[in-house]
This record gives sequence, structure tokens and C-alpha cells, in this order.
Amino acid sequence: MNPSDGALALLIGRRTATLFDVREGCFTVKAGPVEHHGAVPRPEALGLTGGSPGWIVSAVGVPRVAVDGRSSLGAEAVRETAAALARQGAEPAGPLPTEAVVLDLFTHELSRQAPDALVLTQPIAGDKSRALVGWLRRRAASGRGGGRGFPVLYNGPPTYRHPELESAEGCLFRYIGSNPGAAGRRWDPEPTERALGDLVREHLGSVLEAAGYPGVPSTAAGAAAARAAEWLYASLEEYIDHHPGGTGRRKAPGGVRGAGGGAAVCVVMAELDRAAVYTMPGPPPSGGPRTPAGTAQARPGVATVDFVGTGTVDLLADGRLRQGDTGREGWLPSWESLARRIPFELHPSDLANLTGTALTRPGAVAGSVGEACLGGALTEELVARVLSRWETATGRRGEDFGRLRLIAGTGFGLVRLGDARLAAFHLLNALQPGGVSLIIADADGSLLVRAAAPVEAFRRLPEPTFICVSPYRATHDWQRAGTDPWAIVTVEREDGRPLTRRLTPGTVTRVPLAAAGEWVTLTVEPCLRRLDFGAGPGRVWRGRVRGGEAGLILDGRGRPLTLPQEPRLRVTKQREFLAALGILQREEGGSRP
Amino acid sequence: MSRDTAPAARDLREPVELEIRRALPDGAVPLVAVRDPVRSDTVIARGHRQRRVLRLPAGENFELLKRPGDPVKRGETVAVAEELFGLGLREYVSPCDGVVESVNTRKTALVLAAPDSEIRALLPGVVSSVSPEEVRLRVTARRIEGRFGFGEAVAGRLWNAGELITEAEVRRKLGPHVQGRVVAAESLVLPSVLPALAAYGAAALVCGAIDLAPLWDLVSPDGPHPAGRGLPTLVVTGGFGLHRMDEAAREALADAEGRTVYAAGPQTGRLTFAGPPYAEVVIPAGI
Repeated sequence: MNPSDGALALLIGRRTATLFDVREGCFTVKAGPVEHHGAVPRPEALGLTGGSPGWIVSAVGVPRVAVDGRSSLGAEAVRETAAALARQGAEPAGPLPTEAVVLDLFTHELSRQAPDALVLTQPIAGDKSRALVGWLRRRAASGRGGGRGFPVLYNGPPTYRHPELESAEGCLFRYIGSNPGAAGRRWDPEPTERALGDLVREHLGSVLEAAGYPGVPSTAAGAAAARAAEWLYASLEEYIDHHPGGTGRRKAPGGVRGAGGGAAVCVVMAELDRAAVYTMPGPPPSGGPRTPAGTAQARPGVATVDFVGTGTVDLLADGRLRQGDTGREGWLPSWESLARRIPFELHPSDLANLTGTALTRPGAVAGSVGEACLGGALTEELVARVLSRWETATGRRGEDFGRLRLIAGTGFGLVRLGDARLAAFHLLNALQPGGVSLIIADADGSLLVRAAAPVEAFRRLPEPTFICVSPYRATHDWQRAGTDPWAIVTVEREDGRPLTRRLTPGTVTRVPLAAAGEWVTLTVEPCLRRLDFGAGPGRVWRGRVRGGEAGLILDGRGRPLTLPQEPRLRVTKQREFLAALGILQREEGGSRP
Repeated sequence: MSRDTAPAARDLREPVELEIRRALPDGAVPLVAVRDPVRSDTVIARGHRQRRVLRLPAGENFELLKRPGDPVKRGETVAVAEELFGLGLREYVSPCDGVVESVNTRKTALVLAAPDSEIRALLPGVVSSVSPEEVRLRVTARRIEGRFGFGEAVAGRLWNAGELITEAEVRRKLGPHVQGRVVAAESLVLPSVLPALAAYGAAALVCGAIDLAPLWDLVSPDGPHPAGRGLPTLVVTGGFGLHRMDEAAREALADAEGRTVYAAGPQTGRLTFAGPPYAEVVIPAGI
């Protein structure tokens, strides 16, 4: 592939497909988004009559993998396996029964989930093993799966053998070898990643070949999102160059507080009805070993969330089976919670109907600002759901998402909003980063194909949408008006002209910059000793930041983000925020969007 | 094809040749072959429609009243356990009609299978393909595609109920005469219509629109009918809120009054908003 000749890249999301023309690192939409109804679109549907795409990123055609072993025997193995599963882009087929005692239900549940592969994270023996062998034999005899063998990957301790499974008809048994099986020895993620990566590549390759794309290099969308997180993390200095210290008013004990712990980079992959979150770790606390840039792995939010249906929410979560049921399925946000996220007043019944209408058309572009705001609110709810399940799903307790330096959002769920600023605003609301952070809303959905590009020359970093400045922890009393500023923010442009603005509680202020991608020197001077903008409480934050198309946003809504309780005031304020961002015109602040 | 373009209007003006997919439950035995002609009542497969699990107390401190292979009725006692040192007695009852399939080795769970049932074609046509997962039928029919729906594939004689907007209309119009029928309502219906139709044994409801909030209270995982279990099959052609049924769909349903039509949700036992597959009503030609 010669970068100077350009190439075509195909992105197949869960609902739509987009074909990109790539020339000298610039991605332009050549065809799409084309709604594909869950199947890989044929080349003709995208106008591909002659050539074929240079590479494909696809959320369709990835294997659905069932994970067995939620009992305490393999808790670590389950977590690590599920994380590797998400990192490699495979799709969890759904929950398996919490307890292994119901052997008939085990195979019944397998039949119901109809996975493409099974990962055992603990040994199975006796009746359960025999039940699985019988299920595999019946599957092979019935010709299900097109006569292909069923992959069973064993990721448990090596001391256990599974002779029945190894010799079972229709079973492609493989021992992975990540679990050392001895106390005190560390889990080795490499074999799991490799085995699942091979599984995903083979499955996706065969699906794409059958759809008319033989031999085209392909990456699963989840794997591309994890790669994007790693790529952005390695390129963090291209966006933000922070030199802590400066003219501190008060020296924080033990060096710079807030520099360590929590995630630094986050990639949100959002469809209207599903979201997944991938993070990269921040620098360790001062004195600890520093991870070299580019060597760390993306940490996926295993609990990808669907609004209704697949039950992936329950994977590793604490949902218990109810008597007579094979699992809880389906989830929608409460109408009240959703109503608080949109800038207009609606009766819960009308809101429910609008939500249902939007969910029946997940491949449609939002037709109005109101519809876009509802789509954004649904994405916020999904991300909030992922984060609320984060601890259970990943085993990482108390992870601080407020320390994010860079948030990138991609997927048709954001593209369909039609405005990168609105998409970025909803990402900001969902993750609520404090300090100085950059938000990238992928306007055309090209981030994943950029990250998965096989040639380095095709990978060009996306431009930020805006820079956000907000204190880590500060609450605003909406009943009080005219409060003192939280910080004085000085922006020094490259031409040397300084611009000073006040970060006032209860307001969102935009400072436009000359051009997207312009580097500015930012000085954030807290006005209260307790306020922390990333350099420690009361200390001045100073650094160089790459500006976004929407400039700099001074967010005075507080962290955690609060809104007025009184509905009319809340709606007014929300419209003011959207007007400050330029999404609504000033005069529209009081009108119904 | 975009989903925005009036789905109900497709395949409606004239009967066209359609391929209808009839999913088979795990372990079902197909009884037809490719190119076999079928009628609505032709048995195309035989198998268990569903299995359910009854948890039993650990410690085997109970007596099983049923053995594997015994038929059971919903609510029938299948096991009893003593409580409070013999002062109390706890009964474990079957959650569904069916057969005791097995008891696991630790005797902590009992698997109940629905009775071996006959899966019928529900539509006249010709078998186009057979696999362990599904039987596909080629039929000549008119098809109304729904925006939302749930429930199993059913067939029944169509009854156009007109409007079912108010509680008074629901009380006045619905009665035992809807048993086994596919009931069509022109515009918005109250979700409370569904339990009323279930009580009278209606097969399905086809409507222009429905309110999601009260419907979700009924069919959410915590509601009385998770994923629509125990309710008639639902096909919503217009959407949520105030929508009238598409004119072409109304005309097609009016023409089919009293005839046997087929209705199905997108997936059995699961709620999905976005297809494919979609909820559908199929009106066979020439009956």
C-alpha cells in the first residue's frame, strides 16, 4: 500500500457503514453512512465496483464468546479474560449461570446464547463436562455452525486436564496458559490476548470474505478502539504539555497532588443503543515507576452496555438469577434521569415515546437539535451505566475518572448528533473530568480506521473539539447568584497576546481561539485555596495545550456536575450552556429547540 | 433501504412472494423437507419450546413428588420441604406446564421442559429450506412490517376493533369473542389493553401506536410480564406516541377482516427495539 496513492478504508459499525477516502493522512467520507441492518454490506452497496478497501474496521462479524466460570474459583481469570475479550474486540455472548450446579441449565444457556466460542476460566469435570461434551456432539451432528468445529479455550490452572473435551467430536479444544495455577504467581495476559486475537481475526476474516472482501486486512471495532486509546496515550504530548509547579501559593504535601492515579486517556465508543469505554492509566504517583509511553495496554470497560437485549450488562456483574428465569435482560434509564439531561421540559410519557422512537431508528441521523440532545442524553446514560458497573466488571476499585486528560468519543451514536461540539459536550457531562482536559468528538467517525491503519503515514492525530477547564471538586449552590470566581484563566496565544477570563460558578464560558490545533499557553490561577485544577489545591496550573475548533470552555457547573433542581431554571441553564458553546444561537436560549 | 421510509407501506399493495423464517427451539426435530407444500396447520417440527429451572433447597432436606418424565401443571407441587424442625411445610410448585426433564446430581435444581409441542407452519406455502435452527417458508402474501413488537409467531382470524383509546372502549369492545384472534386497532392503544387481551386469550394485537412508559412498566425485567411473557404478540406499525396506522396497512387489514393472518415479534423471549428481524403481520393471498 503506497500512502501517496491514497487508499480506501471501510468502517462497519453496528448499524451503519462508512467508506473513507484517505489521502496524505486526510480522511474524507466517500460513501455513507449506509444503514446495513446488522450484516456486512456488500461492496456494491458502498459503490465499490472496481477496487477493494485497503483495510476494514468492523463491529459486525466479530465472534460472540461465552465465558464460563463466574464462581470464586476463577474470579481473576474471569476478569482478565473478559478484559482481553473486549480489548480484542470480541463480543460477550451473555452471562452464564452464576453457579455450576445446574448442569442442564449450563448447556441450555449455551444453546440460548448461541456463542461462536466458549472460554473456560476454571476447570470443568464430571457431569458438567459430560453435559458440554454431549452438547458439542449434538451441535456437530445437527450441522450447526456450518460444520466448523466449536472453539473451546481453557484458561484455567494448567494442572487440570480435560481429556473428554480434547477428544470430543466437533470441539476445537485449546489450552491458553495464562493462568499459572500456583499461588503468588502472576497472571500472564499475553497468551490470552494472543489466543483471543487469533480467534477474532479468523472469524472476522471469514465473515468479510463471505461478504465479498477476500484478503482485506481487518480489525474488530473493539480492538481498534483499544488501539486508539493506546495511540492517543502515546501521543498525549502532542495535545497537552503540562509543567506542574509554577507559582504555587501553597505547597501541597508530598509533591503535586492529583498527578497520580486514575485514567489519563479515555476512548468512548458509542452507538445510540450501546457504549463501551476504554481507558489508559495515568502516571503513577510521584516516586513510583513510570510506564513508558506506548507500552501500556488499554483497559476496557468490560461492561459494555446495551439498552435492551443481549444481557452483556450482566457479564461479571452481581445480577443473580431468579427462580425459574435464565437471566435478567434489558435495561432502560429511568425517564426522570433522562429528563434531567435534556435542555427542554417534557412530560415523562412524551420523553419515553421520543426515546422509543429514537431507539427504533438507531441508524438515522438526528433531525433537530432536540432529537440530537436526546441522542446525546442516551449516550450519557449508557456511559454512566458502564462506569457504574466499572468496579464489578474490572475489579479496579475507586478508579478516578476525574483525572482524565484526554477524552475521545467515536461511533455513529455521536456522529449522528450532527455536531461535534454537542457530542463533545455530552462526553464532558458523562465523564466529568476536572482540571484541564481535552475533548475530541470524532465528527466523521474516522478515529477507529485511523487507529487501525496498517501504514503509519495514514495515521494523523484528530484535532480536539475543545479544551475544558473545571475544578476537580467544587459544588455550586444554584440558589445563590453572583458568586466569586473560582479561577482566573489566562490564555497566551502564539502571537503573544494574553487574554484573561474568569471561571465563574454556575456559568459555562467559551473563549474562541484563532484556529483549531493552535497551541496556547494556559494559566489557571485558583481564587480559593481548596480548589484544585490539576496542580494541587490552591496551586497555579500552567501548561501548553492544543486548542480545539470550539476553543476553550470554562466549565463552572462544578464537579460532580450538578444542575438546578427547579425544572425551569435547569432548562434555562442548560440552554445557556449550549448557547455558550455555539450550538444554540443566543436568541434561542429561551425557545424550544 | 432506510428504515425511515414508511416500513408499513412495503409489500402491501399486491401480494408478493415472501420468505418467512420460522425459528426452531434447540433440539427440535424438523418434520418437513424442502419443496414440501404446507398449510397453516401443517406440523413442521416437534420439540420443546422452553425450559425453566426450579431451585430446590440445598441439603436434600425435601421430598420430591415428581420424577423425571412426569407431566406437571403450573402451580402443581413438585417438592415439599420441612421447615422449623417439622413445624412448617414449604411447597415448591411448578412455574409452568410441562414435563420434569431432569434433576441435577446435587439435587439443588429441577429442570422443567414445556410439553413436547408441535410447531405449525401458521402460513400456507412451500418449504424453501430446512436446518436444525429454522425452517424457511416461501409464501405469497402481503406483509406489514412493524416498528416495534414482541412475542411468538401466532396465527388467528383477524378482527378489526377500530379505536381502543379509552378505558370505556376497551371494556365495551373486548370480550371472550377475541379468543384466538389477531386484534387490530387503528391508532394509539392503551397498554392496559394487552393484559385484557391476554385474559380473553387473544393471539395478537396489531396497532398503530402505543405509549412506551406504561408498556415498559409491563414488560421490563422487573415488570409483571418480562419481555412480554404471558401477553399476546404485539406488532406496533406506527411507533410510540400519537401515530395513526399507515393508510395502506389499514386498508390491507380491512381487506383481511375475518381471514387467518400471521403475526410475530422480532425475537421470542427478548425485547429488541431495532431490527432486523422486525415484528410483522403477514396476510396470505387467496384464502
